[in-house]
Amino acid sequence: MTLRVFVQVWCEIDPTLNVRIQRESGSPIAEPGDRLWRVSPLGSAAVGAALSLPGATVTAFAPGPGHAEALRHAQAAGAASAVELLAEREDAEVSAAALAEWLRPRGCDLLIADRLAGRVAARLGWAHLAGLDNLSVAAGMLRAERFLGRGEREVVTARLPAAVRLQQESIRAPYVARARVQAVAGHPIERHIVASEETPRSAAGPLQAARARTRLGKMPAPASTSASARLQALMGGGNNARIVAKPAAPAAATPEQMAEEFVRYLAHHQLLPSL
Amino acid sequence: MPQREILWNVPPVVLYLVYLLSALSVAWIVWWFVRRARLWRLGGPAPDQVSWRAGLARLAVYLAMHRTIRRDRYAGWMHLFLFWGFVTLLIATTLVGIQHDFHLNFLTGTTYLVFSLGADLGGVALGTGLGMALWRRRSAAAHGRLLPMASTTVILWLLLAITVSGFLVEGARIARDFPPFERWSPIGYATALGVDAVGLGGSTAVPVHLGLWILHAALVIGFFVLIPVTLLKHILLGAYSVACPAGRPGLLHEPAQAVTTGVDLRQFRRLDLLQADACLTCGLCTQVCPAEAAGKPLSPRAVVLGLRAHLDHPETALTRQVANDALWSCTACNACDLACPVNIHIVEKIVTLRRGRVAVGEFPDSAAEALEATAQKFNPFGAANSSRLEWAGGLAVPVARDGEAVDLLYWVGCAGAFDPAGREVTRAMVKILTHLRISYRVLGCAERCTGDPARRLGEEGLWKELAQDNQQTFAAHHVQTILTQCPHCFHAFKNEYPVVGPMPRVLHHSQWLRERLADGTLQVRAQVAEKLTFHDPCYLGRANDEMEAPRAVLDRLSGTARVEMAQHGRQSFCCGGGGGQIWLDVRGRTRVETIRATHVEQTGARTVATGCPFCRVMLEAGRAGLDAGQGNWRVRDIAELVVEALESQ
Repeated sequence: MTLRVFVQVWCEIDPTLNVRIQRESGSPIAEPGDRLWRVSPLGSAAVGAALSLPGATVTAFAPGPGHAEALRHAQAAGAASAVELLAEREDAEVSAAALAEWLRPRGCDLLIADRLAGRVAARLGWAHLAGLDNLSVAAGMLRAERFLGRGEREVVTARLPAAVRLQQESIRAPYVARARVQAVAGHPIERHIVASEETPRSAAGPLQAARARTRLGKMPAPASTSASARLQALMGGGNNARIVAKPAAPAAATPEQMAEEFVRYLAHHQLLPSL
Repeated sequence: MPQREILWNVPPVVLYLVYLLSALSVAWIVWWFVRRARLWRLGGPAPDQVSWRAGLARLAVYLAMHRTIRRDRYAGWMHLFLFWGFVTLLIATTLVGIQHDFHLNFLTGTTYLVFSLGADLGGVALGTGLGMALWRRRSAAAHGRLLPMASTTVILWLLLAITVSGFLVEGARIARDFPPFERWSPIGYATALGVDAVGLGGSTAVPVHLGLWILHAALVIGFFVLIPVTLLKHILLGAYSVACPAGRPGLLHEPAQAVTTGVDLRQFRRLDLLQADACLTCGLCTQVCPAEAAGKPLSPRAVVLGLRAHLDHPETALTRQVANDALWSCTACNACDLACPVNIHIVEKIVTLRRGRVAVGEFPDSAAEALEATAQKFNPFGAANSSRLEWAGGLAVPVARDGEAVDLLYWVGCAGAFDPAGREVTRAMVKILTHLRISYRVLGCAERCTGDPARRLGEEGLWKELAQDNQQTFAAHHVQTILTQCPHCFHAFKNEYPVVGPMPRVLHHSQWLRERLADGTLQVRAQVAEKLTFHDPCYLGRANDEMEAPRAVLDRLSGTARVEMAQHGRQSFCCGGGGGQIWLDVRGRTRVETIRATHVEQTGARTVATGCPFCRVMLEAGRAGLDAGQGNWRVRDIAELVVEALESQ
């Protein structure tokens, strides 16, 4: 069975550089010798996660112009196609509406995106989960680990279609060999100009089963219309999503427990012998 | 007149049967090699054209001298006996065959006597070599260098049986009537006396002779049959490998096609695949491997044999034949390449296997970070390239302006620009250049990594991009000479960049300092009074044969206080930082740098000098890993020692 996965990729300003703003044009510039833009590791990690799903056909898309290198990297990593989506206006809500309209007829099973994921899920009435890692799909259900605070994780599932965002705390963006990038230099990148009128907020999809992101055991929030519940749903949770399990180890409370946890962490990563 | 009837006492039917079986065994050898050649031909063509004349000359010199093998004295003498004994008997048998089959009669008189003596001496040499081999296999197997392969033991005993049966055949022939001139076959004559003593002389010797002759012929045919399926095939493949141009150690070849998928046979050169079959399994490569010495999961021999196993069973993935950890343990020091008696390029194979792993993203995260940093920031340290001149604080460093013609370009290198210890070397070099009032330029933030670490980590595409970028920079500045303190940059510029495009003259700083000392521009007095030793960087000594320049500089600084480590020059021991290892950390029993630090410790030197910023870092790390009370020495680059001498004057 083919799993249609759409993954957002993009280029971003390298946050580790000393970047200045050019006074005349207002555009960012890097110091001589530095490369200002980089392919977003989060997008690259998303492509890697999508490609690791069995039977996945991955389409990489980039909202807006200037992300060709990210699309090339996605193609080189193994994405079946690359699409540049050009919305009429550069506005998060408009982009989300345009993306939702573009995805609707394409039979998308899973969308992995950045902040757009929540907005798109809201518009399409899909499940939305954020802060995920170790994705897997079986029998129409997405299963993943969600990063909580202080290094804790929980296992969550969601019925497909779903829109998700990966965790950013420990991104493992796969390195794409330059020979592969060079090999896809001639591959086509589709361009779609997506016209979308701004959708009224009330038309946003019903955000049900919203729940607090980091606390286990609380009942799902009711189908509330309160702004905070909707915001929580956007941050992580949403339609058809639920927590399956949480690692049994309790959070360290005392300094001794924290020390033990730290030693366990070192042992797990085989760092103890070198100490 | 001394002569004998060739193939006396052998009935025609037996002779024709032996001829038929011999022809079949030769056909079997040809069939095996043709079938195997189809696999070798999956590899890319060798970039170096083999000149048969030069190849044969190379082979002849090699076989006559046995230079590489004689590094292990016992193995050298053993193989020398085996080789010359075998060749002598092969020539003797061929002469016998020619005389018989072409009805010529040239083995007569003195020629026959010399022939008889030579054949006997050949048999003695072969027997001696075989005895040494069997004894060594029995004793050396205990400490694990030789693989306990039953097939090897079988062929050694088979060859011994052929040798002994040959003497018995000769003895039985002589024992029939004891012609006096046969004393020129001393072993055969002695054997004949023995045969006679046990009552098998005279006419009794005739059927005994026939029986032994048939046994001898059957053993020889068995030997032929075993050639393709045992290490005997090195007789042909090893000779071919030696005849091919060895190439400079450390010189990597571009793959025939861009590696975009996992590793397969097409990514190797044909020569690489053939060499996998030429391996003797002698273990000399593994014996000199620093990763193996440190207990890391790498055995160069196992890599070659893994490739051979894949040729034997192509249905088994190559990734299962060669463990990932083994690949990422290699320091690319090329000690194994230099040690191999049949000239197998092991590092080239390891890098080819790495290319396949990198193409599919199956490699350590730390290496991926170094590659990502090299691709994005043009240096594997991950620092902003714009900070390349941070080392120069307080020093007046002339940076080349756009398009400015540069006569002498001082190439700082990534370690020289970003590593704290490397920066000290760079500052020392700038002080020397300034002291000598030499006109030079640095590129500053226009400098990019040479791509050498990326290439050795298996990222060929990135290496090529960086090589093209750097060559464009050199062309834009019309650079005449490049001066660098990093042997890796030096090696890349001198030996690997010329494949991509024309390059200016390249000098390692030790060579440049030697030139300045020789022409009197640089004048220093012997200053270092304490004992001093020099660690040869692999890519300066082994890869570029430059052992003298740094020593000449040090001798001016230290007078007679320089001592050598046991492993130095081309046989130097790696510091553990090459081949991208400075960004990798495959665990072993100990660390390569710690082993090297113990070598320094054994000299009693107070200063260990080197000519590589990576070696400098690793030796410091090794010193820190020594036991308490050890490591009372310092690590310095030769440029730093020169500056110390200048400042003390």
